[in-house]
Amino acid sequence: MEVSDFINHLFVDEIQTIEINSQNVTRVTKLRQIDKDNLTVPKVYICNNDNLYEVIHIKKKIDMNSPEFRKMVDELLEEIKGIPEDPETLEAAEKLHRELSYLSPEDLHKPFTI
Amino acid sequence: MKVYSLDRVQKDLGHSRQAQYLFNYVRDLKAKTVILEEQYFDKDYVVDYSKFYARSFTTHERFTKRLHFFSHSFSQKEFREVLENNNMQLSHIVRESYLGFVVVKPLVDARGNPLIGRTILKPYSPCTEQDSCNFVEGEYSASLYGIPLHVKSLPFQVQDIAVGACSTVALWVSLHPLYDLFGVPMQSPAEITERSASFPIEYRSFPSSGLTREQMIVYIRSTGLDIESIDIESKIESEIGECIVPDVIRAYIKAGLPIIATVELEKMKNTYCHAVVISGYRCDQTGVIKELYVHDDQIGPYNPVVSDEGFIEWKNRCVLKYDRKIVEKLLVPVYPKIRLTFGRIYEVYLRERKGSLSKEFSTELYLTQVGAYKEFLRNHFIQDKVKILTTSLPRFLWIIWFHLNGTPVIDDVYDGTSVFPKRLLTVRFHDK
Repeated sequence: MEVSDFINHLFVDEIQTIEINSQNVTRVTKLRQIDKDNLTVPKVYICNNDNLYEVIHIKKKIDMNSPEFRKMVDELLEEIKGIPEDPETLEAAEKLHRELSYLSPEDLHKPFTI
Repeated sequence: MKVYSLDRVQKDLGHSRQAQYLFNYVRDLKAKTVILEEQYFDKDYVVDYSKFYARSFTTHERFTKRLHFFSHSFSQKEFREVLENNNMQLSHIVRESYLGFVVVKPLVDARGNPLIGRTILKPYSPCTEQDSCNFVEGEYSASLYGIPLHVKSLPFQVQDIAVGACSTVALWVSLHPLYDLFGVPMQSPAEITERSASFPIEYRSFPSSGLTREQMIVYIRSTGLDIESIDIESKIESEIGECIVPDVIRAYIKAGLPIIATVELEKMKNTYCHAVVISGYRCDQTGVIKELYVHDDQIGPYNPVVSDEGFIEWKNRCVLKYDRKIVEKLLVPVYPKIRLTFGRIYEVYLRERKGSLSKEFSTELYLTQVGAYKEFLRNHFIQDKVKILTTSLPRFLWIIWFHLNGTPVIDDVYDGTSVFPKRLLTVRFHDK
């Protein structure tokens, strides 16, 4: 993304989160304007107080009633539809259940004394 | 009755490690005024007294002291005015600024410091607009000379080694929300140890040497509940090692169920076993847990715990210097009708969240009861609302929740009372 495009988008409502150096920023309006002169395109930085952060990912807010979003949800529903009935899932669920709930005689006899 | 400012409370609270923690805790809650109830008949202590201390050669008091904390400043004269003339304005201030109480037992520890008894204090909630906190809590009432006071909390107390160690206290803490949810009878620490120790072991019951995991399980089952034991140790190196502890915590805390964590403490190459109760957590909008709150009888209530990754190794902010604190297992007391175990539904959840489109959303797995869940649905815009609300559903439900920063998108609803994962319905949310 071009810096100018990013600046144009920075304060609009559609932005949901901006990931900066692994931190998620959700309140975009709290961030100060970008120091344009110090930017190296195509990387984008934003300045919050005295810290300059590199923008890693911008997540746009989604309109849940939009056709694109509805299509994505339809596809997600299709993707998860068969999971609980899949024999492979049920077999793996049994295995995980046995592993997680197993208590050995040593586990049972361990005293908690602190 | 005495009314004084917080800075003078340590005279009554003592100087134990837990008393120091509690002093800092109530200071963080912005406590300003303390009312000392000099003769308080505490049920838990009185039962322990009758079970153990009444037959001691040394004389022990039957009455405890109770310290009430308030975030508003008022004097003894002003409080007397509330009692004498029922001053409505002051009475309102007293009730509204109530932070909870600490019972101080007429017993001392090995260092001569008074033992802290039943403690009910508001959870410390450092939440911001971006974070939210979830606690296991119930509503507790206290009558202070006829003034009804209320606070939402999870009770805490320090172990009295004569009648119980950390495991007994962890069970005692867990009983309170279970009483509210399932009508499990309340018992004092001595009663818990006595009932747990009906199963033979090599140590004496009293003075307590601590309970084994088996005894803890036997105790929970004796109350009519069952126990979900989740082995964390064996999964540390696996694919789910980094997410299993937060996933278990979110799943059960949202249902109001306490989680007993058994923790291995390492110090100078020695290992000690400790039991605590996870009483809440703080998470961001995507559901990522940032901090746990733990009722640890060696430290205090709502002790904040952070972790570098996955909350398997704990870093407590306060006291108790151990080299390492590793969670080995999590024990969750559950109602017997919750038959779909965590392990069985967790595999389904892991597969649902692994999909390419699922990654666009945040996902959470949680247990709930049908009444609370339908009330939640009633307050949201969903497809086929009337049909879903009028559909008969079992009492317990497991929900796989897809959301965007807390805004629900899809709920995959499973029968919590079935043995194997059984999807009941899928709820689709939309904007107004």
